[in-house]
Formats: sequence, structure tokens, C-alpha cells
Amino acid sequence: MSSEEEDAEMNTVMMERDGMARERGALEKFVRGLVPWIAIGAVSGFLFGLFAGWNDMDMDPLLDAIMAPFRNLAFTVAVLLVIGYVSGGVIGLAATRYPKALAKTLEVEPEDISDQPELYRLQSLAALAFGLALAVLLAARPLEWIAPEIAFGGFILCVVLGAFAYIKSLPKMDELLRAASAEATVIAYNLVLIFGGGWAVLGHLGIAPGPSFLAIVNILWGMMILATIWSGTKRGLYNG
Amino acid sequence: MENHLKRHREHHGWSQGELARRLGVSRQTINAVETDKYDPSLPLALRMAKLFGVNVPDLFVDHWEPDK
Repeated sequence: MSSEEEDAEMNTVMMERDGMARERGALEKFVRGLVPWIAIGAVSGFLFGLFAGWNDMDMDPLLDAIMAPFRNLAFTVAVLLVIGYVSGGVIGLAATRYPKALAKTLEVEPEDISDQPELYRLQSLAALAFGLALAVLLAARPLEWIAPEIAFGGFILCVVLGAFAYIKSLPKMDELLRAASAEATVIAYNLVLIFGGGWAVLGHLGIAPGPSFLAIVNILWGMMILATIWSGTKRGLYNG
Repeated sequence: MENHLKRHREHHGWSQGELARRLGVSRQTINAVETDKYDPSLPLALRMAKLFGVNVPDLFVDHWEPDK
């Protein structure tokens, strides 16, 4: 290697290090901004606990009210799916801004994100919207925070937004992503047939309780995310 | 499908990202082809061969033989 090539390589390495340091600094600043809020939450939670203890407050009804929805397995699974979709979407969106700092979290190389930020942005937005759609359903039932009619409107809005973002991302996909996406759809369809269909058959025969409406939504949302990870791993999209 | 993409790429001194840029695909596609996780479409295989100045069978090896 000539000295000019060595210099050029050294410059590239140094520029990459600078970029990483800048992004790490911005991320640290963001995390530092969260610290006071976390501290306020922790202190107020502690004071409330102290107050409740001193006044011999009966916490059981409050704890029951908080924990009751989680006794429903379908609700718990739905919450996990919401967390999966929303965190995936948020991390994906943040990664378009801080590719070097967050690429590892998404199991990809930083240049995979920085070379195609629009694709990542749109697909992350789609994941976020689909996660929020499920969250809106939960807010109506079993949490009963909003009316079912409002939830239905919010759900449709989120799904349309998610579908729009996904469709907008299609022309930005190259042939590997298109192949992986088509494969994920086929895998998801088969998983829905096996798990959803199998459970419904057991329910119909009275061997096991049939799936609730929320369980059916979970199967649709869950199998799609599972199939996407399955197909992406098979095609070497992660950690490549 | 067995292929010699990595050997040709390294012979030209290109990174996966550089080859991807020249072919108009993502780096992940190049990585998936090199690690035998994805067989490229015919147009992409033709473009790869054209870029390296070789024939497609020099890049992609198929051991199938017709019955005699």
C-alpha cells in the first residue's frame, strides 16, 4: 500500500471516529436530559410510598386495579407486542439520526442505515404506527380509557398511516429486501394458519377455549413480526 | 449457489459497500450473495458479470449436469 493510500485510509478511520464521537455526545446529552425526570419520578414514587405506609393506606385495591388487565394473557401479549413495535419504530427512527451509535442495537452496519435513511425512516414509522394501532385497541379494552368508537377511529388512522409509510418504502427497497419482505408475508400466512387456525379448531371442538378477539389480533400482529425476523435472519439482513 | 463474488470483489480492492454502490443495491444484498444466503436475480447477476468483465458462469457455479 502506498503512503498516499495509507493516509487516505487513516483519514477515513479518523473521520469515522469523529462521527461516532459526535453521535455519542448527542446521545449522551439526550440521556442526560432524561435523568432529572427519572429522578423526579423516583423521588415522588418513594414519597408516595412513604405517605401510604404512614397513613396505613390499603394499597390492595389500587394494585388490583393496575394488575387486573395483566391477569388476562391476551392483554399481556398485546402489551409486549406494542412495546416491540413501538420500541423498534422509535429506535429505527433514532438510528437514521445516530446510525453509528444505534446500528448495533438493530444488528446492522452503520452504513446500511446511513446509505438508505429514507427507507429506514419509512419502515420505522410503519412499525411505530402499527404498534400505536394496537395500543389504541388496548386503551379501549380492557383498560376502558377511551370509548370503543374513538379507538376504532384511532386504530384505522394508525393502520392507514402505517400502510402508507410501508407502501412509500417499497420503491426504496432493493431486490434482497423485496425478496425478504415477500418471504416474510408467506411465512406469516403459514404461521397464522398453524397457530390461529389450530387454536380455532381446538376451540371449535371444545378441546380448549377458543381464541378471544384480542388473541386473534395478537396472532396477526405477532406472526408478522416473527416472520419478519425469521426471514431477515435467514437472508443475513442482521449482523451481516 | 456457490459463487466467486467475494474473490472478484477483493481482486478489485472494493469493499462490500463500494460494490453495492456501483451495482445500485444495498451492502446487505452483496453480503447475502457472498455468504450464500441469497441468489441474485438474473439482471443483477448479469450486471455483476459485466462489472467484473467476466461471464456469469465464472461468477456463479452450478454443478447441475443434463442427463445424457
